[in-house]
Amino acid sequence: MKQQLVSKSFDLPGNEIGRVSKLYLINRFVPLGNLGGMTRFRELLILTVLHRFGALPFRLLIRYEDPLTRLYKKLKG
Amino acid sequence: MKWQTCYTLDSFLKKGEQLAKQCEVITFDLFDTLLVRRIHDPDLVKPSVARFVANKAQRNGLDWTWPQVQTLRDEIEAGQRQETGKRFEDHEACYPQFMGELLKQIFQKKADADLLSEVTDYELMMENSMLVPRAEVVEWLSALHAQGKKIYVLSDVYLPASHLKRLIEHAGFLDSVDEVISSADSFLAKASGLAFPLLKDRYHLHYESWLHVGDNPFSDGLRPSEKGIKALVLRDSSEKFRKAVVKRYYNYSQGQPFWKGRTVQQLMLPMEKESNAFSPMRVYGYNVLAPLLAGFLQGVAEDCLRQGIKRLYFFSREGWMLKKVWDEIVPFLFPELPVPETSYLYVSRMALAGASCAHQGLIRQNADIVFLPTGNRDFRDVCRVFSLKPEGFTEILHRFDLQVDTVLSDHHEGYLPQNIQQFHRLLEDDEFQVEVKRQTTDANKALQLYLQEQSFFEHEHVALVDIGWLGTIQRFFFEAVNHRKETPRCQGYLLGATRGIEYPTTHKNCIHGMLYDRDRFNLAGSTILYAQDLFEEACRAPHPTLNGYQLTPEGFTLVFREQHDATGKAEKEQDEFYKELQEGIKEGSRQYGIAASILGFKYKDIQPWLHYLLVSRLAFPKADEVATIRHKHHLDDFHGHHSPSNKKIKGRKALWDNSRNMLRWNPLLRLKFFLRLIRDRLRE
Repeated sequence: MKQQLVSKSFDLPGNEIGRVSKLYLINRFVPLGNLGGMTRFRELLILTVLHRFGALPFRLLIRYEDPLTRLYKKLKG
Repeated sequence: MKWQTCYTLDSFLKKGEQLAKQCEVITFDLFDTLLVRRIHDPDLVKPSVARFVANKAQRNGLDWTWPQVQTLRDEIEAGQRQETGKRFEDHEACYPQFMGELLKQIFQKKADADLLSEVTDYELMMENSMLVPRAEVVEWLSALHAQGKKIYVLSDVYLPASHLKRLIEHAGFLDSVDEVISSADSFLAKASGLAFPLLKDRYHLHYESWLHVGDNPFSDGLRPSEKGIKALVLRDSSEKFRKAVVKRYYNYSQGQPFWKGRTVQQLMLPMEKESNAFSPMRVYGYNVLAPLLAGFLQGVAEDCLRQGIKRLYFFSREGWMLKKVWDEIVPFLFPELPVPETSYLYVSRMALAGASCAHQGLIRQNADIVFLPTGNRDFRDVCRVFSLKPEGFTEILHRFDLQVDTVLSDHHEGYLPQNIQQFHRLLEDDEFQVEVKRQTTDANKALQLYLQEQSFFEHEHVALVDIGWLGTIQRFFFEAVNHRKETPRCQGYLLGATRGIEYPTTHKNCIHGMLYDRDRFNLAGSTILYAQDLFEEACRAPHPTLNGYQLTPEGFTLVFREQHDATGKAEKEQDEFYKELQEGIKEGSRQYGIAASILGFKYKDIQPWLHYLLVSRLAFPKADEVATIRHKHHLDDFHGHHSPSNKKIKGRKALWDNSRNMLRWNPLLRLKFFLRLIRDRLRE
């Protein structure tokens, strides 16, 4: 069966972010070696949410990109 | 007139078709409309150019670092924009002017037109590598051109039109464009709206039959609308999403080393028309083996630069693919740096083993290597490996109570400890060694002629690159030429160094495992041991192995193995099986070179991700992955055909030897093997 080199959510094919999460979990109990500190949980969570559910919010909110950006900048100070 | 905005590509094309019917002239914005960038921030291309300029300066004896070059470029460009702002409404800059000024300040009198052209070529090459034509929009543009509409490309950018034409030509649609207009030439930009009257006057256009298409609501929407031009703006949510993903990975990579390699892989991903469906083999080659092999060779090149090595030899047959990967990544990763020249050297353990005995004879350490593989059993196997004729040793063997088929390996039935003791005594015998040297002298002479032809003896320090694992090829190779005083210092680089038998390291001859070396504790890297054969087969050249070097009246000849027997046919079948995998590796390597160059990441930066790839793909693979990728045949002439006793081989099953069902349904299988790996490493 043919495969794409990139998934629809712009991840590596085969749910790479899921694989990272799995090894992140294993790495909590069994040392996997030098992975450069691997990842922080927050980063992993954001990336997972972005890959899994990112497309829809982008499609819905693109119309309001400018006011949302202005609001974000205002909130950020 | 209000411009129209579309949020999906489909609606954009549909609306565009409708509007284009009423127009004779269509102007297109270039960046993010016709061409999309792999990277989220276009300014990230600039540091790679700064590195190029800094490397060039350093080669000219000028002390410049790339951040200094980048800072100066930014200052000059900003200065030019300020100056332009005094005379024009738009604060534009022109690349040849500010780059020319930058080079003048760095290279002083050496800055000439050729240098500017060289730097420009590099910048455009990097731009081209980051730009991908947006397939459907380009198809629409070509269709409009075919209908006889006038097509202009209009861009607000510091690159002049002549440079933009090169980008469009590379993207493959210059034929469909009537003219390219850049704000860098006139300093009249879309942002102020002044580019539109310029075009109107220059090409005698009419606003009412003019459609402008772009991605910026202000420059491509509001400004043309003010002039009465129909305007269509694309705000593609999918593209925004893609860029947001890239940006997220990039930002994380700045703080967390683990994500650096992942960011490289994100930039490697194909876009638009590049993204076709491929076989799982090709996908694996592109996404898994390409980063691993390209990362390995990036590390080799960096080390060669550190050590000042000028010549590098890739050992056959795995070196065939490694050389291809090298050729793909080096132009992007090391521009203007003195990376070593490379050659592909025809060698094999079998061909070199005999040649290594011509001067030193058959030494005990080398003889013991024969019995590492369980398929070798007796003196016949020793003769096969070292290209010796057993008949010449019959009488000598008899003196030591040995025969050609006396079992010398403890893996086999019939082995007696005194057999190997007698064999070791035999190796001390002068008559035996004289016969060994007599039989191997010609092969050694032929090898030296071959190496002379390859300029091997003309260097003081050379790099030798191979896939792994014990370093026996380099061991035999060095021993075959070590007697010559002009023999260079040999620095071996292996993908993985398992060092199953101690390597005779000296100042002139050493090996270094890049992804894994048993001499340095590296648990993640050691997962390469799960599937060593995968790497060998994936990199192997589609030509038969070398059997030996032969003297001829004209000089020498390389003798290759015949491929008509069952082994040869199996090898061809395996070559065919991995053809797609190798294609994927080649394509992926090129993208790796581009991505790592743009991001400026070194081998050390990417290493944590490479370790992750090894652990996730080899130690914790998916069942389907193993079933698909697992090689069909792995052939090694070094291994004999004797079957070891079952007792000896029991318990050596590897994870990758398990069936698909076992891998799929046994949840603890991978963990069990990984714990075994940890235990083995700790015992070492």
